[in-house]
Amino acid sequence: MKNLLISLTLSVLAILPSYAQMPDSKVPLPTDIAAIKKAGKLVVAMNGKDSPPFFSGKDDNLHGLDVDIARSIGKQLGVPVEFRRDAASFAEVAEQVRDGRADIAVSKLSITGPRLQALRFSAPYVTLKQSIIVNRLWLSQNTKGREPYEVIRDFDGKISFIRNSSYDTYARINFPKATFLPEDDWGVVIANVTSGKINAAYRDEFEIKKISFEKPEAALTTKTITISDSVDQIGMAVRPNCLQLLGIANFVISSEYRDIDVKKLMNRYKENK
Amino acid sequence: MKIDIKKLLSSPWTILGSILLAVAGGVYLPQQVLALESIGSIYISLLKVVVIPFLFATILVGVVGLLQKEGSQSMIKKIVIGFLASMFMASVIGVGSTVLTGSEMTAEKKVQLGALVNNKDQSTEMSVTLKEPMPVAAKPSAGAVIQKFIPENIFQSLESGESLKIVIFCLIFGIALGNIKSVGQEVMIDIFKSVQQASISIFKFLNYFLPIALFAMISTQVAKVGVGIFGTMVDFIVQQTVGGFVVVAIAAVYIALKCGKGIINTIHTLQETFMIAVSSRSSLACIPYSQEALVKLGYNKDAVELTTPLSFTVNRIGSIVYYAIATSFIAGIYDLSLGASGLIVILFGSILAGLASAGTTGILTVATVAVVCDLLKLPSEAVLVLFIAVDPLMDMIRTASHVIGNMAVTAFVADIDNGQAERVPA
Repeated sequence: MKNLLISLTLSVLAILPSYAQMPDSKVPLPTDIAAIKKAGKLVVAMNGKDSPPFFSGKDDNLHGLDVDIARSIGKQLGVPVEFRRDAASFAEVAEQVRDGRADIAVSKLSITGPRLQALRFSAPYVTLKQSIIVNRLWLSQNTKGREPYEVIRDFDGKISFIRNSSYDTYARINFPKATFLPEDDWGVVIANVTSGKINAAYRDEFEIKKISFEKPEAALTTKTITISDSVDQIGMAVRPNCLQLLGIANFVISSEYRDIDVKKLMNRYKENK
Repeated sequence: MKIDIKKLLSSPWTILGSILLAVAGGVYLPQQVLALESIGSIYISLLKVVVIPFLFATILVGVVGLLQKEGSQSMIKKIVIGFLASMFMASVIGVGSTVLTGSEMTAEKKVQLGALVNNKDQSTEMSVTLKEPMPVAAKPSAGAVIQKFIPENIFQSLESGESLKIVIFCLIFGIALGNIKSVGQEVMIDIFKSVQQASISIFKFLNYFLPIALFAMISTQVAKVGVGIFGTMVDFIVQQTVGGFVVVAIAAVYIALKCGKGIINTIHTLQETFMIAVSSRSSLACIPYSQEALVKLGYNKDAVELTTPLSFTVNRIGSIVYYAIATSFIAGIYDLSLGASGLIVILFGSILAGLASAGTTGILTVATVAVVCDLLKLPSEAVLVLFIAVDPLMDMIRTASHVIGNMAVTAFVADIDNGQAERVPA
């Protein structure tokens, strides 16, 4: 019995160091991991504009879901994380990963067809539905005897979204009859749809739900409509040859950040407010 | 000693005192008074126990009495004129009070109202599919709307208390009964007269508990709405109060002038019905009280007994005033300046909505404001959340103006008996 205990303790002691680093091996690490280790840091591309609860704040105060996930990956690799926040758009975030300025994009990045042609995405860690916020007055005045869902399906008004975002792509596919008004600043989009300058805005259900918290009068002047047969999957992106890093990203998601939906996000958002 | 307690309980001062206490209780001790809610609902249930048999008996007796009297044609004409005129006046008062007391909807107010909508659940959200089929909501056809008024099974209507269907059944059945000449007819009328009298004596007994019930009902309504929402909805509440007050005042003056009993005396007689209306928020429960009051003021009993149930259920004066004011409020929120044409649409739209709301109660009545909003292409859904939040109070005003307004309509239809009551029918 005593022997058994000793051998158990010994084997635990033997395992411990191997958790912190790979066992000694003559075989070199895969190239993507080796490059990160050599640089001594994991460079994470993250949109420069805050997007709570995914990422917000500066320097030491930077926090959010994406920040947590990125740090988890860094911990697995045993290197510190450097957040690169000079990208002004989601498209630029993707570009920074493509040209090697960053190792991975953890930046509330939607998985879309065009992006999948150039980048490799992790499994989605957040699955949202697409959502459209419509000016109520416009909706009442343009019903023309139709059901509201028919008005949305045949949407022929002015619709706004963030330029070069995934919704720029979705809008042109889903609402071909609309007039497209891309904007750089989401705040401008919200102001225009509540004032009635534009008729609708298009983004994920979480961002749409968030509007009435930040701008209460929107609850009166606009109507949020979730598109139930749509998805907006949020994933992390790496270069096509960084499969080892991708494996670690997937491991972090499946072990720590599974099944995050709009409800959990909303709670996280409200807690931080 | 016993008589003293009775007198004390039915004294107007006791009633006024319990109302003031109730408002104070609702404001300062909302948690505690909410525990009293069941007392109020028990009282309303008790009132309703006898309302249905009373209604049934009263209309039958009224219709048969009318048919046996000369001049029933002119009374029907008067009822129609009274209804149309009162609906139109109600709508004018509603529109007028928004024009006179309307205030500007500022951006700041909109933020406060929006925050209130946010607090009240996310009920205004919807979801659609782009490709998958949507469940198709059945659209009510014209036939279905008419069917709403047909009592296809009177026992079912009696059981579920569908007052409108009961009134329609009694009218049809009463006309038939009045036209058969048989001993059976007289026996039946005598039976229903007894039902009527028995119901009235039960109502009178219940009256002694009114001050307690009043306190419970009003304090819980005040507590439910809460003080916070008053500040943000104050414009709307003031407009509705002004509209309701004007209706009640005009109606009371008309009732007083026609019977010639003087304003003070008339107000004194109407006061009990008014209190029941405000506290129970059930116009049905007010029917026996209003009949008693009008007969006391000298109005012809037969005409009163026939007209009140009909006008209380069909002629939605209180709702019409409410819709006119509510629509103007919504237009303000969406920065839609109405102009003369818009006001005319509200004027007639509110009457239309009033007709459409026949047979509805509570939230369903409030939601019918969509009828007017649709005419103006205004969205009503989000604001409806706010209306429902303050409705416990608005319902008091609606019921009071509805009841007193329809008493004036009844006064218009009924003649004054001049002391020679019971002109023997043929």
